[in-house]
Amino acid sequence: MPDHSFDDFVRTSLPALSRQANALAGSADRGADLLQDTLVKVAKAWRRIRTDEGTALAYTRKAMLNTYLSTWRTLRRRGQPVPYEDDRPAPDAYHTIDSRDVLRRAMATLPRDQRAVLVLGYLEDLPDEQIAAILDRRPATVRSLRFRALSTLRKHLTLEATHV
Amino acid sequence: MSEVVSDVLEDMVRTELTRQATAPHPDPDRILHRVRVTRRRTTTMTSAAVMVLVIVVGATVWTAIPRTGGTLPEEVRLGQPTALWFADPDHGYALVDACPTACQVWLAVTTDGGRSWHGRAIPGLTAAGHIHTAADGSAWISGGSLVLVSRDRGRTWREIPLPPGATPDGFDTYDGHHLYLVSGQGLWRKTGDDGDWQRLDAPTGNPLQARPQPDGGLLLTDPANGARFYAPPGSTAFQPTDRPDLGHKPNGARQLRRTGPNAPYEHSTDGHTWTPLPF
Repeated sequence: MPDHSFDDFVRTSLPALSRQANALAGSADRGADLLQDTLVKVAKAWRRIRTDEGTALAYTRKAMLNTYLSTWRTLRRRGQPVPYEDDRPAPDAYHTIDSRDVLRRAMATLPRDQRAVLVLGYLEDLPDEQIAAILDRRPATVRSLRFRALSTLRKHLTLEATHV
Repeated sequence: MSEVVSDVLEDMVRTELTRQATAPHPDPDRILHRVRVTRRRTTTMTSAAVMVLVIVVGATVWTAIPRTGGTLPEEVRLGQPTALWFADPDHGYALVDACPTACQVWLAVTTDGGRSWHGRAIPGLTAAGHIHTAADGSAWISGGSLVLVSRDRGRTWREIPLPPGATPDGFDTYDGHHLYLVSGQGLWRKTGDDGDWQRLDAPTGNPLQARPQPDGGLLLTDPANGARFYAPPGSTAFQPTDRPDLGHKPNGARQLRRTGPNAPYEHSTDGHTWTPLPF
């Protein structure tokens, strides 16, 4: 008799998982890819973790973070870099490029561990200690990663403001 | 705006992350389909990779170890008398080369008493070597920088690693289990194919003749004065000996002796009990 518990788990947890995946990956398409890679791993371990939905969800969230931070996946999925200038919309069509667009582009350039800290802190509202436990880092390291991420974003925004 | 205030920036980051997080969710059925396809593909690729690995490793071993069944080059010759050995009336081995045209050594094998020969080149062996069969039926090739052993009547061969700095010139074994290297560089003993070489203490500084014994020990003879030294298996030290059961020439699993120039030959399995040969 086929086991439908994994399918049921995916259907139930998809909104929460997709939310984290989209925030980590920065877009719906890449978020779906991240979700897919994560669920492939979870499916392999499903017999071991399907004790209850809470355990499975926590395991999947952790697996998603590990997958996102995985160097191997980074290399495998790395796209072709496109120079910012070439990718920039024409000024006549998008004359009012706002700070959000700059911020979104700047966030896409952040190292993955820095972005993960931002997602867990600003989207999930987790305290530094919990983020540190999830990422296997020290709280001081989490604060350092956030500081460096915000500094980078601030630098991009300031630079863009001086060019406008 | 020369600098973005920290609180404002954090609010902007929070807002942007929330906006990205609330992007449309993928269709569950579509995601599940992608997960299934990916898992099937991963399983297939893993199986294929394992099969390729097995084939590559198998092919490497297959080609690295000389096997019987190939065709020998024309004009080969026997390097020296000790390069020929018959394990029984039908099965024989020979080391042949085509020097000076091609000084690659081939292992020639016959299974019909020497009427036809076939063989394979031995990788790394370009100089004349020796071949003989030990009492346990194993066949041994030594020459160049190699010692090879076959324990399946010549079908497959494997290399025996030598101690650093040693050459296989003085390699010998009686029983196929206790292996000896006796040369100007030193004396070594190894027990079994996978054991480590153990250095033995030379009893004298003179050049010595070595002869492995049926019990696994080693007998050394000083040709200058006829003195004999013996180290039993398990001992690294040689002691002077006058045991009469030691030192007879082994012929396969038997020892052979002659008590006088015209006396009949006698054979023995243990060096103690001797039986006259009836011819």
